[in-house]
This record gives sequence, C-alpha cells and structure tokens, in this order.
Amino acid sequence: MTERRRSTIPAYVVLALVALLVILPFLFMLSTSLKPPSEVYEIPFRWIPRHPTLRNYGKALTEVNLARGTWNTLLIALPATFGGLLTASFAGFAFAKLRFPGRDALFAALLATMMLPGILMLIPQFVMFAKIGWVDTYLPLIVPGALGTAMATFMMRQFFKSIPDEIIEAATLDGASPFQTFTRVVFPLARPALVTLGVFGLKAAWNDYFGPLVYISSPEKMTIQQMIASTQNAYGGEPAVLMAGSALAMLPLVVLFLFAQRYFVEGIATTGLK
Amino acid sequence: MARVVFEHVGKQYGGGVPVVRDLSLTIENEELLVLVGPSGCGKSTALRMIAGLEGITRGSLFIDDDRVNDTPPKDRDVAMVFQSYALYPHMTCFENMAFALQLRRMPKSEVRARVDAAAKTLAIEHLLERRPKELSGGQRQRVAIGRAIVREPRVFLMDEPLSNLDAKLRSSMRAEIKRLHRELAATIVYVTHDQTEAMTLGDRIAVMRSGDLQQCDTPAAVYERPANAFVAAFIGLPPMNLVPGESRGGIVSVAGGQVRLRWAALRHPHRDGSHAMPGAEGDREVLVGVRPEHLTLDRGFEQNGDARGVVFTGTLELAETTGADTFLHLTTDAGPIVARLSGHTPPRPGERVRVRADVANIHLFDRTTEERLL
Amino acid sequence: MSHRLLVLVLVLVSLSCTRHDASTAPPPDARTTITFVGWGAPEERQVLEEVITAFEQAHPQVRVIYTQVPGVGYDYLNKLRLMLVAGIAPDVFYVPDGAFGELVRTGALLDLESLVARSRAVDAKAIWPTALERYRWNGHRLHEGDLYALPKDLGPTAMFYDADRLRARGVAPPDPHVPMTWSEAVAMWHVLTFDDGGVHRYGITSFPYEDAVWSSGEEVLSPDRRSWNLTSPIAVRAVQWCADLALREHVAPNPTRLGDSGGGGRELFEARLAAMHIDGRWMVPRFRQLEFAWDVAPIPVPERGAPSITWSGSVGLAISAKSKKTSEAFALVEYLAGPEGQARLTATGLQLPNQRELAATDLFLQPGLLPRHAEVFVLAAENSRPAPATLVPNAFWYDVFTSFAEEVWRGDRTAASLFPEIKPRIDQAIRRRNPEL
Repeated sequence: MTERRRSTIPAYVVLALVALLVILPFLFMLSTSLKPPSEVYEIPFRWIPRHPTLRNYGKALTEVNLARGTWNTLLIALPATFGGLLTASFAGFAFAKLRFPGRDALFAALLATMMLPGILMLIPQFVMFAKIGWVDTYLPLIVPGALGTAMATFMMRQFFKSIPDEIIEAATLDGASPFQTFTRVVFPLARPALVTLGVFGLKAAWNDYFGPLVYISSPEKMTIQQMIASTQNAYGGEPAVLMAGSALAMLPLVVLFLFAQRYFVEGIATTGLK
Repeated sequence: MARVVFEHVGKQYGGGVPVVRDLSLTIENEELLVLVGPSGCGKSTALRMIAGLEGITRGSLFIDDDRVNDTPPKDRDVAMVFQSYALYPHMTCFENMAFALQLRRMPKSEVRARVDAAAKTLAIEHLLERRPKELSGGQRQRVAIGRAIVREPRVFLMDEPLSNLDAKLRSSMRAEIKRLHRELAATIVYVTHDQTEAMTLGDRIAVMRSGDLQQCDTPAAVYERPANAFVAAFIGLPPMNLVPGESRGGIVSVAGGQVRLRWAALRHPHRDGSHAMPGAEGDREVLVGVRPEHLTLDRGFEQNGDARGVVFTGTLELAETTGADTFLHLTTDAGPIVARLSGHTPPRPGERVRVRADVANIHLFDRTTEERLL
Repeated sequence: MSHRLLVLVLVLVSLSCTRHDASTAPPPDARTTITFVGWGAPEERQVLEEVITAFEQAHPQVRVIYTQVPGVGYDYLNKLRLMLVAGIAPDVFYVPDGAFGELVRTGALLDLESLVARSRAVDAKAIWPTALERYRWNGHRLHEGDLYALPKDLGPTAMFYDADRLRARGVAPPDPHVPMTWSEAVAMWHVLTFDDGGVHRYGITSFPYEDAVWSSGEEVLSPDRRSWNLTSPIAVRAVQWCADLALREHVAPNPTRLGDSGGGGRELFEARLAAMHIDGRWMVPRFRQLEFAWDVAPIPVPERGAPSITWSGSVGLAISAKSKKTSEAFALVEYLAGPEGQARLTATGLQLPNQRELAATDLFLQPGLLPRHAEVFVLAAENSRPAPATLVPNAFWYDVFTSFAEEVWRGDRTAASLFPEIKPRIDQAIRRRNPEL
C-alpha cells in the first residue's frame, strides 16, 4: 500500500503546482476586485486586502447592465456556436465519408485558410460587411461562425473518420440516404466531439472582445465584454472595478464548465462500436 | 429469394492492378455459396459488388435477371452481415434490427412482429432492449444476423461473420447458420478465408486467388478433384503434399527415385471415374500430389515403383497428436511430407519411416501451369 | 434531439436579425440626417445629446445621429480608420490632434477654410491661436495653410497636487500664478517623498520631457521640421533632469510602475501614492470624485523668469471629405465650435472652451468646484503647444524615439550619450515617411 502512495505523491505535488500556476491570475483578479482604490497600486503586492470591500462589485453592477450584456452576448454566442456545430458536422461528415470530385483539394484549401492570421482579414472583411450594411449589427459576429469555422470542420472530420465505414455501409444497405445516415446514425455518435467543440466555441464567442469592438457601436447592443471594457474610458478607469466586472462576466462560463465537465469525462470513454 | 449471376465481371482501381478478373459465376436460388481464398484474393470485393458497395468496372451483375451494375445499394434488396457486426452503438438491439424497416415507414406493429420473429429464431429475445456494448461477441453476431433477417431480402451476404469468434463458438454458430439457411430457404453468399468453414457450410464452394476464380463446385468435388495445384493445397487440412517430379517417356518419377509410375497404371479410371486430361502424357515437369490421410505407415518390404502405390521414405521430424489422429511430419529426399494416421502409437522422432499411398489417390499437376493433369 | 436544436438555432438567429431592424430603422422623415461619431465619458454623452437637441431645435431640417464609441485608447481611432477605408465614414467626427496629420494627408477631411470664413456662428479670431493652428495643412506642412477641422476644445496641462497631503507634510501650496523653479520643486518633492507604514509615497509621478525642453528654450524639431533637435546640451540636460527625478532624486517612482495605461501615473496620484501629477484639464470631472482635496499649480520652469511652455491636447471636429451633406454637417460643426455649443460643453468641466473670452468667465472657472485655481489652466493655455508628434504628418519617428528613450528612463544610458547615436535614425524616419516636407 505504501508503495502506491509513494509513487503518487510526487504526481500530486506536480499537479498541485501546475494547478496553482493556472489559477494564479484568477486569484489576482479576485484579490484586486475586493480592494479599495488606495490599495490597488501598492507595492509590495498583498493577496489579502487590508480593507476588503464589495464596492467595486457594486460599481460594476451599476455601470454595467449585466442582464442586457449577458443577453446580447448570448444572442451572439448561441447561434454562432450551435449553428457552427451543425454546419461543421455536415461538412466534416462530407469530407470524412462521402466521395465527390475535388474533395481532397477542397479540404486542403480549408486547412490552408487556417494558416492566415485573422488580423490580415480584418480590413477586407470590414469593408465587405460595410458594403452590405451589416456594421453595427450582430450578423458579422454570428454568420461566419454559424457557417462553420475551419477548425471545427477539421475536428469533426477527424472524429467522423474514426467511425468505422462499415456502420455507414450497413446503414446504406438498410436503405438510408446519406442525409438519413448522417442524422440517424452518425450524428448521434458524435456527442463527445460536439460537446468539446461546443464548449470551446461558446467560450470563444463569450470572451470575444475584438469582434464586437469593431462591429458594434450602439451602447444598447454592446456585449458584456464591451460593457466591462467601457467602464474604462478615455480618461482612465478603475482597475478594481474592471476586475470586479471581469469576475462577474466570467461567472456564466465557470458555471458552464462545471456543468459540462461530466460530459467531457463521459465522452472520452468509447461507445460500443465493437 | 433470388439468383445472382456474375458475367465476366472485373474490377480495377484507377489504372492499377485488377482486384477481380473476369469473374463468371452463378449463385443459384436458395443456394449457400461460399467464396473462399487467401487474403487479397478478391472474395470480399466480389461480395461487396453484389451489395453495391463496390463499383463494377467491366462485365455485368444480375440479381434475378435485373442488371444491377448501376442500381444503388438500397434498391438492390440485399442484406449484409459484416465481419465486425457493424451494429449501431447508440441504438438498442431492437432498434438496430428495426432500423431498416422504420426507414421504409413500415407500421409499428409489423416491425414489432418481424423483429420478434427473428429474435425468436436466433434466441435473442431477452437481449432486445440492451445496447450492443453490453453483449458478448456471439450475441452481437446474432443481432447482426437478425438485422439482416428482418429485412427478408433477396440475397444474404455474409462477410467472414465468424472470424472474430473463438473456436468453440465458431463451430456452434456454423451449425446455426446452416440451420438458418434451411429454415429460411435463403440465397446466401458467404465469404471466408477458413477452408473448414467453406467445406462444412457451402452447397458449393468458389475458390478465388488474386482476383481469379479457380474452381466452383461442390465441396466433395473440390476436395477430390481440385482443378489446380493451388486449390489442391488450399482445400484440405493439413494441405495436400505436393512433390516436384518429372514425366518423361510415359514414366512419372520423383526426386530420389522414390516414385516411379507408369502412365498406364495412372490412366486407370479411378474410383470416381475421372480421367487424365487430354495431352497429359507429354513430357513435362509435374507436381505429384497425395493427401496426408491417404498415406499409411508402411512396414512391409516392397520396393518403390510398385504398380499398386507409391512409397516415401524419410526421417520423422515431428509427430503431432490431436487425440483422434496423429500427424507425422517427415523429411524425405522428395521434400517434406505429412501423413495422417489414426490412433497408432507413433514412431519416435528421428526414426526412419516409410509411408505409402495407393495409386488411385495420386494427383498430378503440371508444374508450370499448375493445372490438373490427373 | 437534433430537430429541437435546429428550431432553437433558427429562433435565435431570427431574433438577432429582427432586433437589428427594430433599433436602427429610421422613422420616415423629411429631414436630412447626418451622422456624428466621437468618444468620451458617459457624462459627456449626456451633454452632447443636450447640445445636439438644442442644435436640432435651431436647425429643424437637420437630424443628427450621434454615436459615442466606447472603449479606451486606440479603439476610437481604429474604428474610424476602418470606417474610412470601408467608405462608411460619418459626416462629422472627432479628430484628436495627434491623428490629424495622418488623416488630413490621406485626404479624408474636408477643407473648411472658406466655410469658416463665411460662417456667422464661428469667429476664427476668437479662438485660441494654438488650438486653431493645429488643424491647418497646406499640402506639405502642418499648422500652416487651410483649416481642415475646428477645435472642439483646448486641454491645457497643469500640475495637480494633493492639498491634504501637502498640509499634512507641512508644505506650503505652490503659487497659482508664478511657476516654481526646478530646484524649488525638487526640494518640495523630497519632503513629500516618505515611507508611510510600509507604503512608499512619492512627491510626483513624472515630468513630461517636452515641457522641460520647451521651457528651457529648445525645440524638438528644427524649424524646417526635417531634423530632430534634442542633441543640444540644453535639450539633453532637460531630458536627463526628468529621468533623474526617478533615478537620482528618487522623488518619482520607477518608470516601469507607471504602466501602459497612458495616464503617466495618474492612478498613483488617485491612490495617493504620489502627491503631485501633471495632467490635463479633462481629468477634472474625474478628479472631482476623489476623496481628498486637491488643486492645480503652474508647471515648474528651469529658472526664475523662464516662461512655462507646456503641452496641451485638443480634439478637432472634422467633416468627411466624402460627405454628401456638407452644409448640414458644417452647421453642426460651427454650432459645436461656436459660443453656444462651447458654453454647454465647458459646463461639464472637461475642457477649456476654444473661445478665449469664454475661458475668462465663471462658466469655465466654476467657483465653488475644484480646482479652486482654475485660472492656472487659462494661463497655461496661452503658451501651450501641441505634442511633438503632431509636427509632421507621419509620426513614426516619434515611435522610434520613444522606444529608444526607454533606456534613458530606465537609467541604462544617459541622454547625453544616447541621443547623438539615435539622431540619424530619427532623422531618417522623419524624412522617409514625410516626403512632402
């Protein structure tokens, strides 16, 4: 018994250290959010504020319309993520299991677009969206994601490739059209990949600051990230309030992760394919 | 049930080596035909061509007088049992079996009736609400078969369905499939690489090699009159002993003078009335074949070349006993020879042994073409 | 399951589309609509909306859609640049004086010279000359030629000080009209630098080097603007003096503590970790919320009698060169830059009005509100100048300078040894990117 204990103790120590490193920025954020302004800039840095206060949270809640910000962000994040999952699944399945002329060339082109830095496309995209009048709407933020990102399509393709061809052949012989094969046989098997992509997609859409910044101007349309950022304005802001706002904005994501965690674990175990 | 006809069917990928070459084969209505051969011989491809999962490059395929080269798989009305069962993991066994019927919008009651009937036949009623991952290999196999049965297709296709089962289960499932064949009066095309399965299951066997059909006949015929040396060696366990020899001036001889036969003696009609092929007597290099079970231990003192039989003399390397039989592995001047004896107390390894076979049990093949001569 | 998902997605997508329609579809209107984009604090937004309402009442045929871009730093400029590139530039927009050169050179701004000359609402002569000159361009030099924007305000800088802290340390408040000398100031800052129960407090956050250079009588660029001028002994001494406040005198914190927020250490002042801080008039509304008493004083000069020449910021109001509604747009611009608009904007306390006479009134001085000595800003405005980076259209040379200057602020090199080395590179940066000079 001691043998086993001895070999796992170093493992636990390493894991604890890494966990600490990862959680450090969040602890910093929480610590700062509870400090009154006079303590924020002090050196040496103190983890526990001398006079902890909830005033920053109060200010954040009054300056930031949390409910509206959350709603706006959801209006963008949900369609973009779920739409993206659907289209990425369709496309990934087609690339993985269907045969059509130019398939591999198209897929290579898709991968090639992943090499382009997003910043390069900022101006041309903006010009294009401006021409069709989509500036100051949510559409430039939803539509590209909902039509399937290259990354998501790639991942779904890899996942579908791992599904044995025979299952699909069996469905074909049973009389299923490719669409039926997809919806009734393949898609239900894709749950682990979908959950993973969904969580990452939601996180990315939720945290996106740059996209809304570029495309949205009207204050009532701002996403929660923009609202929190706007507590800081051209004349400076209060970092503590910013931290408090960030903590509040993070809350839904933390809840989501805690909830989705069991799907992660469940999804990793293989389903009964053989 | 239906009749499947291959007419000069060929398949080739791109510009590469053909996978199936000029296959002409008829599978009769209600027949269980086994396609057998080593890996890569094209048997699975031929099976999948019937299903429509592989395209046909040349020739025509008919199911019941319909030319189905271009018919999509779901319209061919064939059902397939895969080697890996290919059950849908997220559905219960009932749903697996009902899937095809539901796709056709069959009323629920009829679906239920068919599935239950099939489940009864296969003794899997108690498994219907379980998921595939909760079942053993043999149970999954039955569900896969059940999935095919409920469809009441024109043709059943089975792609090495038993190769993932352990030996005991395999033999019981073999019997099961035989029984199903009779009960359903179905046309079954069965692919396997196991020649025992082929011999026991098939009404007829089609032996394939590198895309070519070598011989298609009843198991007995294939066994007793193999069309070439390949089939001779492939069918029968342990394989037929094939020894290189020479035919010159009417005399067939084997290295080391172990065998000296006169064509006159060989030309005698054999027990089943087969004859030598025309022109077989010409001078050539040959392969002399004799099955292990036709070799007996020779304790007598006859010399070689007796008109009644052939004798091989060699050293015993190994004696394997299976309980019922003993296999003697000899090294002779003519090459390695295996003999099957029943029951005997075997000689000890290292001893000098003589085995003999009757002339009637000798097969002759042209060494170059491998075609049967006698 | 997949059906329900599909329905959910469709509902959400259509929801977001319809929301868009509802909020930006304009009511059927006979008026001409112009767009106006700027930035600022929420208080400013309110005031601007009041100003716009008043404008619309005075000009019933015009309707203004005002958008305040949220965010900090370069967010506004980046958005503006994107809009210009995409061809959807607003009719009227803010142009910070630092970005004026870049924008006017690309031809994005409308020439306002004749419009201003004919205007009855705006009198160019009543505006601070330093504010007006910033928005001139003659095709190859800035600050000369035609007007391409009108100043919305002038934002002079002054030295803010923590009055409570000075009192507690027994330091007399600086004279509001006569600038202190450098040596007097350093001595004062020493008293204000002390350890306070484990927390170290400083006398001042930092000193802008351009104020030091200008007050010493030097210029940053040569008169023809083609070469960089800070290699003279006087200029070097001025810059080094600023750096030494932290490195030698230790009355200012290490520059790395000032951070990137562009405030030059204003947070330290707000947190009372530094007793003094040089900043602009626009900080006043924010500072009015601080919990300690403060005031302003003139920025110190090298020696007695030298004029205090300091930096001031400004934001201009420009009209897009591609605008199709230039007369309506100019009506808005002259209203905002004229006495009525300026009166309202000044009432926020954020800015010095661009009209000199207004600056002398209580509208700006706002007795009863901090700072008590608001006239310090008026005095500073007279002699103030725009930032060195605005001297030529392309300001890349300034980025080069800033990156090298880090070594001086950190104490790795002295200005005397470094500046001659970097002069050729800076000169090259100026000339290469400003060929019209």
